[in-house]
Amino acid sequence: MKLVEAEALRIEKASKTLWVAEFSVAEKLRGLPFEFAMIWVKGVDEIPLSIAWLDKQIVGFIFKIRGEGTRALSSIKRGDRVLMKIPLGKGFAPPSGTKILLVAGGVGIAPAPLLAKYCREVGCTLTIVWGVKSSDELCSPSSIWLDGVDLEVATEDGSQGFRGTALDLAMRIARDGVFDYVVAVGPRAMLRAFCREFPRDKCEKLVALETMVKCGMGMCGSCIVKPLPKLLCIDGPVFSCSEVMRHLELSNS
Amino acid sequence: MSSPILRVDVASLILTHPIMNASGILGSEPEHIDVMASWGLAAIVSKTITPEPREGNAPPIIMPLRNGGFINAVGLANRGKKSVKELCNRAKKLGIPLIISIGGSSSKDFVDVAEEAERCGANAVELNLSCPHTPGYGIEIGFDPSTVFRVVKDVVGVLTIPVIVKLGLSDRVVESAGKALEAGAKALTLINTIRAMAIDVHSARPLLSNIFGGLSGPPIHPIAVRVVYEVYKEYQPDIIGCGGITTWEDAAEIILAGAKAVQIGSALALGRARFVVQGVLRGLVRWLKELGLRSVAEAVGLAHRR
Ligand SMILES: Cc1cc2nc3c(=O)[nH]c(=O)nc-3n(C[C@H](O)[C@H](O)[C@H](O)COP(=O)(O)OP(=O)(O)OC[C@H]3O[C@@H](n4cnc5c(N)ncnc54)[C@H](O)[C@@H]3O)c2cc1C
Ligand SMILES: Cc1cc2nc3c(=O)[nH]c(=O)nc-3n(C[C@H](O)[C@H](O)[C@H](O)COP(=O)(O)O)c2cc1C
Ligand code: FES
Repeated sequence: MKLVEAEALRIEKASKTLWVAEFSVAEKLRGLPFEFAMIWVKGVDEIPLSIAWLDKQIVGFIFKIRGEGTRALSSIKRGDRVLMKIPLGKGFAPPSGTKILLVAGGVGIAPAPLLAKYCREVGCTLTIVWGVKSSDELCSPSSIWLDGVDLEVATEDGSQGFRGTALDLAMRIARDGVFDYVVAVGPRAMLRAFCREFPRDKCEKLVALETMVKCGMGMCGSCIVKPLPKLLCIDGPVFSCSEVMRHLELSNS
Repeated sequence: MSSPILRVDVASLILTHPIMNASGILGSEPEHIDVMASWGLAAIVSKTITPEPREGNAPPIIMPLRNGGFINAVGLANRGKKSVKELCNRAKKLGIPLIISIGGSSSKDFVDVAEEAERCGANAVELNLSCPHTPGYGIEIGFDPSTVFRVVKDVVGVLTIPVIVKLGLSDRVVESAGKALEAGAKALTLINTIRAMAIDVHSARPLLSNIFGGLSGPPIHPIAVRVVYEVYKEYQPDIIGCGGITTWEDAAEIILAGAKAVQIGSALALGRARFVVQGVLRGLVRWLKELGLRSVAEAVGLAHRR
């Protein structure tokens, strides 16, 4: 983990619901898929965001405006600076030669570009299923570093691609294909449904969770994945369905 | 020569070795106790518990600093007195001694949580008279030796389990230590974080939402060693040394100054806890052998030899 000063290159609305924030940093960074950063929007709030892409001295994030912190991030200008703790978490680094299916709901697409890059580098096969309510929530693959990636789209209203949820489409794809890892990331209800319903023969089922991250460094304890003795900021955010099923059932948001 | 004895008796507790965590590294939820039990500590110290729940401050609450230290203003976030029972039950189940750290703004607050801790089977309590950044909670009490005396006396009066008193840096820390002992404290934990501030130079804003915070980690170690040395010199009480301990040398140094046991806080961050605890213990064993000592106890306060 490093504390780095980052300068905004590009902050823009990429779809009806999603924003992109890209920064340049003074030193070369490294990070694994699903690792995240704590971004201090100076004087406002410090918030955890997944690293969406990372290329030498450029780091990007995809986010949705939820409250004060994300709103402040969306309103910073090119040249403005933020301070970030990066990388945090344990990440997810599948071995080379494996086949991976990523099931992303909404802003759950955020960790996809870094996973795609990692898979190109180590030689994993990646299929991404991205589900949203309607096509106006999608953004062009090139604007979020997803060019040339096997990306299947599902919209609940059928306005683009498959009509249905990301999970519906992923189940269909998994019927015809074999995957070593299937990773779901998105709203809690989707993760719960995924862990309950997705067939688990021949694959390891994983989810990327969100809990309240206040320090990101394993000190404050706010990110504990109850009732597990695990800290999201140290051991996560990716966990196997079998270990977090009770956690997902306990929390009903 | 057989392996040196790591077991220590401090504050009437028998510990398998001298290392515990410092209060505030996890320790507010029963699941935290599970995590900490896997670190190899001889005892666990809870997060400071206040009678009522406290939300704590808004992030940023903990920031790493250029000098290798940390600044924090967590704001004593905890679930209040009602969480004591769950913490105690979990520690009992795991078979690890638990010290409940207590915070409050009056004698009554401390007594209230201390009685609950004893009822729930805590092995000891540690009175946090030294939180440097939460107004009304701690340092105002610890700074004034006569207030220290009153609070400690009130708590000791109603408990049978040992009372440990945690003090922070102040001009009158030696005097406060004396008052705590006079009032019946079985041991002193020295020291807490030191009130500090960090400013982001690019935005000209304080780094923490709370503006002020407590400085911890390697930068405060020599100060902790000095305070332990001075208090030991005066009273030779049981001391738990705390402040910047990261390696076995840091632990050895504070033991030589007069500490019987040590608490590690900041160095347990970032998932390094198990590694750090093991490293310190291994190093202490090698060091005791090198000095020809048979136990940690024989090293306590050795630096005072003339
Ligand atoms: C590991 C991790 C990775 C994440 N990655 C992304 C991402 O790539 N893109 C994205 O849009 N969002 C991501 N999030 C969620 C993001 O952190 C929250 O949307 C953000 O903190 C909300 O802050 P706010 O001030 O805008 O809203 P607030 O009004 O403060 O909160 C809105 C809601 O966001 C959640 N939240 C608030 N603070 C935190 C916090 N400190 N930690 C976790 N959740 C919080 C709570 O559910 C809260 O009810 C991630 C969360 C985690 C834990
Ligand atoms: C994040 C954090 C939270 C803390 N919370 C508490 C607390 O609740 N009660 C307390 O007595 N001390 C608290 N402290 C102080 C530590 O217990 C310890 O005295 C101090 O950090 C010095 O030790 P270290 O340098 O090993 O971290 C906290 C320290 C940190 C870094
Ligand atoms: S966020 Fe503080 S321990 Fe994980």
